[in-house]
Amino acid sequence: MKLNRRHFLATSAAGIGALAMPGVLRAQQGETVRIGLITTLSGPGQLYGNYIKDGCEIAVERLNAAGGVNGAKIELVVRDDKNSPEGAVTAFRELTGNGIKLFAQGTFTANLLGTLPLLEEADVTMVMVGASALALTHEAFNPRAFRLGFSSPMCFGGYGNLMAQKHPEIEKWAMLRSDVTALADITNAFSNGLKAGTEKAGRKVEVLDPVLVPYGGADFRNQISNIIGSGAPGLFNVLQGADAISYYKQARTFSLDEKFKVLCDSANEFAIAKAMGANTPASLWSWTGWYPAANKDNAVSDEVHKAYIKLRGDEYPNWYIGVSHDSILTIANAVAKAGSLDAAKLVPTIEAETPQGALGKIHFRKEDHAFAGDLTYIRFGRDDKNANGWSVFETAQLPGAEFLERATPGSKLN
Amino acid sequence: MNRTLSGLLLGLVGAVLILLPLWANSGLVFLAGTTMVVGVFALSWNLLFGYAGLASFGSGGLFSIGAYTMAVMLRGGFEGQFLLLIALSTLVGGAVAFAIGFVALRRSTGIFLAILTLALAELLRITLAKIHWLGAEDGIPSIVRPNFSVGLATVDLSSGNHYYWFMCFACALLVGLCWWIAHGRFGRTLRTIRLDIERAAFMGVDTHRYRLVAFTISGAIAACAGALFAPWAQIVTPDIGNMMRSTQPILFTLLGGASSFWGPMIGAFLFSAIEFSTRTLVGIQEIITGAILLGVVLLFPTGVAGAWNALVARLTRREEAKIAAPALQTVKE
Repeated sequence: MKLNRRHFLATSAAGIGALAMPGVLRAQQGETVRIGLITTLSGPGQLYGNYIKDGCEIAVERLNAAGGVNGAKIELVVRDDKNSPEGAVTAFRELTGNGIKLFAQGTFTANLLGTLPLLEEADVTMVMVGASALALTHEAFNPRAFRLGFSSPMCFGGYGNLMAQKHPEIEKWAMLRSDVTALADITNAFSNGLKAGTEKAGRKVEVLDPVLVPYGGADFRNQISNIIGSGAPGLFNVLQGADAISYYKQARTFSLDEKFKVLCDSANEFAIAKAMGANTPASLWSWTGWYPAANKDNAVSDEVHKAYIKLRGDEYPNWYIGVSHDSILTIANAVAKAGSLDAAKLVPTIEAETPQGALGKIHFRKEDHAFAGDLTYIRFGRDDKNANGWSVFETAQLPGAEFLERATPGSKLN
Repeated sequence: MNRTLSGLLLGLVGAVLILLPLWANSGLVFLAGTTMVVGVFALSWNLLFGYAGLASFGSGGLFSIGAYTMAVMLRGGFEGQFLLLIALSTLVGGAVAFAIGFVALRRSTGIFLAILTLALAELLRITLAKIHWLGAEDGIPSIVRPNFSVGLATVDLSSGNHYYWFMCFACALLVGLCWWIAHGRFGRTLRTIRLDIERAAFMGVDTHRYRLVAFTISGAIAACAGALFAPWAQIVTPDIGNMMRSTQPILFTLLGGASSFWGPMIGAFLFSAIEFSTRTLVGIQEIITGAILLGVVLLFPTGVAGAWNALVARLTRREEAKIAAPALQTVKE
């Protein structure tokens, strides 16, 4: 056999061309309105990414069933950001190179910070799905991006305020959080909200410094002993994911729910109950971005809930489902009203519009594009009468706009 | 024949890379730029592994040192001295590598060195994630691509694909430097040490000094790659030097072939090509990518470069055998 050089080079060039082909093809915006979804679909963050993908797909299905956008079908083009800024940038550049002008992206801050500076150059509009970092609407603010997420001062300031209203008899609160810098914002916001709420009612409250637990730790018993010894009747826990489950399991042996009058969890919502079943604490408050049962008079919320049950068979969807659904709804509604994909027309339309979503009225503050919708809190706990071992006892909603931090677009919030 | 073909192939790949922005999607251009940088990073790692016989599992830490040095200096408004910043980042990376090597190389090699470097890189990542001045977990975003002066000329890397072409040039220089190091006297001495350290020492080679210099050079080039990467990605985070980053050059070298100089670079491009081709297969991409990589590693134990060299050698031998065949025929009576 003789190796023909020309033949080899031609084959190599063809091979390289074939690999690059999907990226080269420039699809035209025609019968469909294409929305690029960039989220984390691999690695440790894929749990949230899968929720976001589900919520967005439910939105596309619902909107297309209702006739699409001015007669054009919506097409969702999904890309994995590999949980890295460069992964997000690669996906973003590929999709913009293919002519996509509308984006939904969530949820990790660093990945969003990677793509935000590119919005101008690509002339696109973006909704940031479920993102909570203050930087996104403050120092890294981009006029083409809208944050459909809840900042710490908003949801946890509201949380503290709610506890001040519901439990005026509690004058001392303990806090416990993972030793992660980002979580300090949550305990600070809760503490500030609690103090503001009690001062408003002419009372005083003592909030103890948070007890720190190791992030990714396995043994929380010393810290649990510390908070039980604090003498505070109220406790606010800020732990995430697996840490939270381990902590609540170990806290059971200390009868934590008997030692405190009020137990609050930051934002793990039903993940705790789903993991612990009949061993769930007797009563536990949690913030959530969306809880269908709290929106009983909201037809969109009901439809999204039903669609999710049909898709996954889970009656208790994660709040990202509602938020991601509403992100697509926001974009589709703006395109329908503006009759254009141009950011120059879409941005003022999104600022002005308040479409009905699963979360309620979707409204953004004009100055910094921060979401100003309702806040939802749930109280659930152990229930032997229920087959799954737990039930939701109570829900509460607050107007989020009242708790939004000061708008400082382009500069850091002090 | 092998050298000619390899040269032609290299020229073709170089031409494709240089002309890429003229016809390709911007996502593909970004990926190609990223692959070039991590390819150089992998080459620097293989200078240690393939030539000096030292396995570092913490090279991602040195990559992130270069990236953070560049990001901090650009944030500080020193973009006008961009070339000096690349040199500074390289020196910082080299100095850190020298310090680690000076302490570690006399005491540990093999698995101990691998674990030590891995631990140090993780320590660096966790530390970076706690420093607010460096943006903590969110890192330093919105890094500018610089404008700077060289003599009377002004170089604008902020617009269009200028930075991509600058990276092509810079990576070509770094690859050339690696080639020169690997194929010169220094590289040959390193291979001697890798093959038989006692014998090399017996012949009068200061093995510790050679290994330390190799460790320093490898760290400096890794940091230089990181420095080039920061304005390209326009964001650096602590995860830029995570364990995945440290395992990247190992994977690329395994794929491309540790025994070949070009192996890590081939591995980097092959891996990126597989990832890009399977990007739409959400949910099963990792399985498919993993299966392809496993297949490649099982089929070609010496990597793609090793398989290529073996193929060319086999074809060359056949041609030589054909030419030599008449001399071997028995005389018929």
